[in-house]
Amino acid sequence: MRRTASKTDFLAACKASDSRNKSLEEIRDKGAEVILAIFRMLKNSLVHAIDNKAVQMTVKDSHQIITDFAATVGGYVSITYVDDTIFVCGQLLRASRSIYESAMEVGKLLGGCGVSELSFTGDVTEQDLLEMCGAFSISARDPQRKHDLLDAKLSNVAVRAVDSSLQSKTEDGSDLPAMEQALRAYASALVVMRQFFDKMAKGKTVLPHRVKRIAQRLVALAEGDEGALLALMTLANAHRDEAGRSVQAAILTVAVARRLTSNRIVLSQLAMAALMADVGRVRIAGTTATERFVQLADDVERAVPAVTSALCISTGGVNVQNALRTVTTFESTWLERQALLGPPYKRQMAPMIQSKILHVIRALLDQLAPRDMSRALSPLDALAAISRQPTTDETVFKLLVQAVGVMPTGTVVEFETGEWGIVVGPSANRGAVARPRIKLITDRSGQVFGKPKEIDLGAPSAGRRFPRITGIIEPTRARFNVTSVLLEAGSAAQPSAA
Amino acid sequence: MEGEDPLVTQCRIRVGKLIGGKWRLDALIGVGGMAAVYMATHRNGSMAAVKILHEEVALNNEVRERFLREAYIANKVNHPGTVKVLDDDKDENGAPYIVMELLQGESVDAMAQKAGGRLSITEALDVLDQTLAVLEAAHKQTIVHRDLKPENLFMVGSGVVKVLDFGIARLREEKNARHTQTGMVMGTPSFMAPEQAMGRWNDVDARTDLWAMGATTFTLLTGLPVHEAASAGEMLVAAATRPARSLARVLNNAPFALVALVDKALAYDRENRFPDATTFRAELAKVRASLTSESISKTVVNPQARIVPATVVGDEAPSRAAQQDDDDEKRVDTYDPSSNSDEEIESMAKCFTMLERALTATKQYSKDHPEAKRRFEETFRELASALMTCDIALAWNLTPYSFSARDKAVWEPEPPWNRIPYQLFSDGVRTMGFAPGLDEHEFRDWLRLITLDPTTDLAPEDDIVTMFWDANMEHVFFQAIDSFAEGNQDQRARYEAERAQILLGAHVDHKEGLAQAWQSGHGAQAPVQDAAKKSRDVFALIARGESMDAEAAARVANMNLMEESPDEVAAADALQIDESTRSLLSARLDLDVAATSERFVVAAAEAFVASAKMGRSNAVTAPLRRAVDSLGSGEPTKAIDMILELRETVQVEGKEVETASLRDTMTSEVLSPGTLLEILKGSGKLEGDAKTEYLKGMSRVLACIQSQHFDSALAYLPEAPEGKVQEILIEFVTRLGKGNELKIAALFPDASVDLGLTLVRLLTSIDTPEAKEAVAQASRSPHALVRIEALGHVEGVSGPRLRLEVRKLVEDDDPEVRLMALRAMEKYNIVIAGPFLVLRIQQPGFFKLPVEERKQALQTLCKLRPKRGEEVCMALLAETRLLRSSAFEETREVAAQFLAEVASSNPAFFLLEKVAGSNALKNSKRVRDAAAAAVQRLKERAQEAEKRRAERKTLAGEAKKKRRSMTGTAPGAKTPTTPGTQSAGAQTAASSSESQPPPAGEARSET
Repeated sequence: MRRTASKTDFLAACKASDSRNKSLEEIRDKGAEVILAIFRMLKNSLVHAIDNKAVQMTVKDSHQIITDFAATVGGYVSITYVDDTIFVCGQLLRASRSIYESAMEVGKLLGGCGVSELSFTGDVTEQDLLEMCGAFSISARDPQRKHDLLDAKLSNVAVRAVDSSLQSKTEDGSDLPAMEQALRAYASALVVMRQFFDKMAKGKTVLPHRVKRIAQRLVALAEGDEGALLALMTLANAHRDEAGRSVQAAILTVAVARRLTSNRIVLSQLAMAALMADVGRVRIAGTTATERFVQLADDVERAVPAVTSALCISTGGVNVQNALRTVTTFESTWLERQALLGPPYKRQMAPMIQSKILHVIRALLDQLAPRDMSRALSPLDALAAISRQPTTDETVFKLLVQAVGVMPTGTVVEFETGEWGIVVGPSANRGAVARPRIKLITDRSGQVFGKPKEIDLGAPSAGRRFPRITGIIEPTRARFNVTSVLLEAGSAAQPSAA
Repeated sequence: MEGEDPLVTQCRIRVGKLIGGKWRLDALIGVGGMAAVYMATHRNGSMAAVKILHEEVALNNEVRERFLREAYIANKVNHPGTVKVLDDDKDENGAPYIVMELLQGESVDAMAQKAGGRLSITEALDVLDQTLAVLEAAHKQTIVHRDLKPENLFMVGSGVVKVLDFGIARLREEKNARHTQTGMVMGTPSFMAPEQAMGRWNDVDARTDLWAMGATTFTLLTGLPVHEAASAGEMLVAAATRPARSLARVLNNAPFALVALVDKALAYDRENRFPDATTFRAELAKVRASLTSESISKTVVNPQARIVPATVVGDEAPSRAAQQDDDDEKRVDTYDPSSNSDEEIESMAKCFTMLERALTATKQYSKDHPEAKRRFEETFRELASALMTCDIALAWNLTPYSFSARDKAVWEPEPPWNRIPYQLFSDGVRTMGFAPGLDEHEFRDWLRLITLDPTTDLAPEDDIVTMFWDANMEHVFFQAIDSFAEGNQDQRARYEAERAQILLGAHVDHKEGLAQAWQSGHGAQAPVQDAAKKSRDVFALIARGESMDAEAAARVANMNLMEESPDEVAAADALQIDESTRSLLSARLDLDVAATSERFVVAAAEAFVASAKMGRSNAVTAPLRRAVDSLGSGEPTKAIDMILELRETVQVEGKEVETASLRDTMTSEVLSPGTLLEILKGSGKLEGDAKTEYLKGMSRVLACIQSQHFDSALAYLPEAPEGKVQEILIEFVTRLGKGNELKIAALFPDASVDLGLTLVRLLTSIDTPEAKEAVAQASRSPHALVRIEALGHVEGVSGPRLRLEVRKLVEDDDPEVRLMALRAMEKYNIVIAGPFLVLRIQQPGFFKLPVEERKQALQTLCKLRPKRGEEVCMALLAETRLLRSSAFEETREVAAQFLAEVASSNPAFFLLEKVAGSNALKNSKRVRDAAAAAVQRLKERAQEAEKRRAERKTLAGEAKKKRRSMTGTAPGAKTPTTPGTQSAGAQTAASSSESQPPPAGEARSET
């Protein structure tokens, strides 16, 4: 490892230099031809009998175009209609208005037959196409037989109806409560990260754009209602895989870093680093925790920071933003393994603040939702546990407590009266660090409240005395859906005091 | 007065006093850093303003002189808009003062404050006009004010604007650096032109004042400074480094002509401002004439200058704007393309048509071509006008092939620009628009983003939407869907199913589970104690180093708090981070390229080692190589530094051999052939130490890289400048030459003489059969010297081929080449070429060759084949002709001379004797003389040989004796005899003459 300070401003002149797969461009450019060919073929089969020469001629031409295109893409050709959008082999159709109109007409015709996806193998023959045209013309002409196309036994041609749940997914959810919006973003993020990690575990090192979109989305949500976002910590226990941990880490990282900056780019980059921090381990283990948690031998664990760094570089290239992400993930994964690896950079350089934040947050998540399915701690216990860790940076810890509170949102508490409550956010009284806002969820006899009552322990009305908290209910005992309580409460909390 | 500045108090004491025996100070008007101004009455009853330099300042002679000198600058302007200085004197304490006309009215700044922070356009432009009139006069006198601002403009009751405080004004011809030094800042940051803020006083001129008037007008119109800054220091930095923001960004609906006027005055570059006050004023007159009451009344200040930043909305997330307050929500609603009027749609269509033409011009010419620039400027002007007249904003929807509003296409671009709507749509953008206040900079940014080519211009994680999000443009908004589901129908279905499951899980009703949990868990004591203990730890950490003691922390941690207590306050305090720490951390959180870079090198090196161990080093080195490539063309020095730094950072603890090997692999893989070439060419632009350092770096890089770079480096060798670069390259080629011999030989046709010779030497140093074969290919060199040089190293090459090569050289048209070839034959002892040489000598044309060549031919022959040489020389000498040319005789003379040295046979001796003794009829004198000399020489040689023989005999005898004495061998014992070497000729010569002819063996060895 290097000992001296860098004399090269290594990144100053680096540009975003990585390019993408240019074959996609080819698919996009040639997709229009395929659409037109199919359009002509289907239109002709509607206006003529199937044995008409005009139909046969267009089928012949179309066959040539389809098979050429299949050879270009190296597989099958698919045309999918989703949300008035047309995808050719998964790529949005790039074409002029007239071709789009033709394509939409094809879509309508197929839609009338209950079909929204049409696929051809590279081996499709003219006869296969003719048979498909025949089935289509019957379906389109006769409403009684509109499913003929779907039911037809075609070779080398597949027709399908797209699940209606996949349609119309572009509605604006801005009218939903903040907590619901946050939850939906969380769910999307979790699935995206699971897919990404699955691919990573199988050796596919392509970084989808969706990851950065997720990071940006989390920042935007935090700008809107940070409390709602932080309430998602209650789901950490339910999703103890690497993806769950990465999304939780991203949320908490944004919340902590917001104590220091409101710069959206800085925040989104940090969130992205949090999302990417486990790529090395996932790759080494060759599996994700959704399958099973793999305990790695010490010498393999030692390689995790370097492999993480390697994957960050290979997926993100060498540019300023990715360099920061690489360093952040490298340092934070190193800090986690200090016992094995010794101090980062052999104390020649200090880890960056980004890495310290990420490290502390990941340490917290290890306590809140251990991936090896060992006993999960309550948020307060988790805070206490990491406070005792020698690698915990004191200032970063304070920032963390500022962000999540001494008793983070979702903490289940018991009052001296025997009532149970859930912390829904910090008190309106900023000085009341140990007295959060609480929803009372059961009465003293354990009767669950239909409508939980909210009390702000830090701001009792004059002369009123709130019962004393006597304990924190650990997750092993609080075996109920805490998140749904918060969802019922709507927007869970206001951002805590900075 | 309580709380009053002591300086003010000190100045106030003077009120009521008489100074200079004539001016009574009636009231204190103001106090500045240098002087105080009083309202005063002369003993004759006239009133005036008296400005007295502070006593402590007045002690400095230079300041005193400057105060008086600068006071009279205003008089030099000689314009009703300046304040006249009527007199000057000293008060009783020696402090100088000046007497000025007394003004009744208020400063323009005060006027604006009274009017709510800003003036109307009419008022502001009136102030500007009057001030420019004063500046016209001042600048004609080469006086630059240097501190124009609303506070220094005074509106007297009659509506006349007076320009105050020429206190820091400077006569432009005054170049004395003593008065205003470069780097020293004077003036007011909010109104300082960049050159003034930077303290570059030599650049300060009339245009600096015009910038200040632009800034003054900006502030009077908007109530805001040109730059946004939290402190004076920040403002100064901003003034020095940032172009002024456009008036349009702050003043919504500002008439375009007004925006253009103010923006031009505020141009960062002086060359782009108005050249003088007269031009500025003339332009102002046009603007004033163009303004209608309607256009003036429509302006609205947008102090935040933030409409709605670029916004992402998604299938489940709200737009950021939608989370703003109600007003913002309304604004977002109005960014609906369906609310655009027909006129607005028409305007948009026009703008986009112009934009497409501008883009086409860019493609056809270049971005910087005047035509392209002109078209972009026109487009922006058109757009700015459209934005000024639009209701709320100009917005449009996206389709894969067009921009549209209310189902009308506002832009349906032709290829290749049809990629723009396609890419935006493909990345999820569904609505986009411009808000009033859009400036040219933002417009260009927008254009840059929409024309990005995702295949080459974007980092892997980015698409157009993430780029827009990062750009965070104030007057460009967009709405995008986040299509997280990707792939084919099955993949999308899987995505939706999994997501739905997560959502469902979060919504599962809690009531039953909660009731059960309460039953089984309530009242348990263990968690309580546990929690209390752990929470103490939390507070202990928070409170570490703070005033809060452990006991208090414990009390807080026990949560036994019903109301605010000192303990809880202490805990809250302990949680706080002091502002300086927060600022420091905040600054560190921002991208620190140097710190990141330093650490990234280590992370990359570790990554490389790990990936190399997995056999996937290219996964890391490929991106690094692209980064090095991006430096290579423009900054090869940095590329070298980067390569070496990466190399040296690679280390495997305790494994030096592995480290060295990995370092070499890293260097080789990170360096592309293209960058290697750039590096090799890079030294050309450097001089001196920089060049020396560069070459050192280059040498180190080349010393590490492996054979995959051999071809690139070798290809550059013929072009490489002679000297160090070539030296380094040759060193590299030599190192990796083995196995690449024939590639090296391929350079011969293009190599210069020196390089060709070097290559021959290089190849001869490689001891492989391929190298020998490669040397033979030097015959392809256009340079005979190279071919000749190669002759000596062509072992193993077949005889006929070598003979052919020699023959080509010896018969070359160039006498020099022929001569060198002959010398090389002699030098490298190319015996195989002997017969050919004999033939050449025997050809009739031989006598026509230059004498030097003939001589060398004979010499070479005698060296290579002495016997044959002797015969040839004898033949030449014996040849007689009726008509003897001088060349013929010359050659015979040379032959005689050679015989003198090489002859070992009696016939040669006799021939020489014969020729020497012949008459002029048979041989010319020169030939006879040469023959005589040769005879003489042969005799001498014989004598010398005899002498040496005798010496040897003596020595041998002594040695024999010695051996006998050592071994005890009896005298007379038989010893082997040395075979006689004396030739018959020599014996003959010895017997027939006084002198002995040389024995053949001796003579040859001599030769």
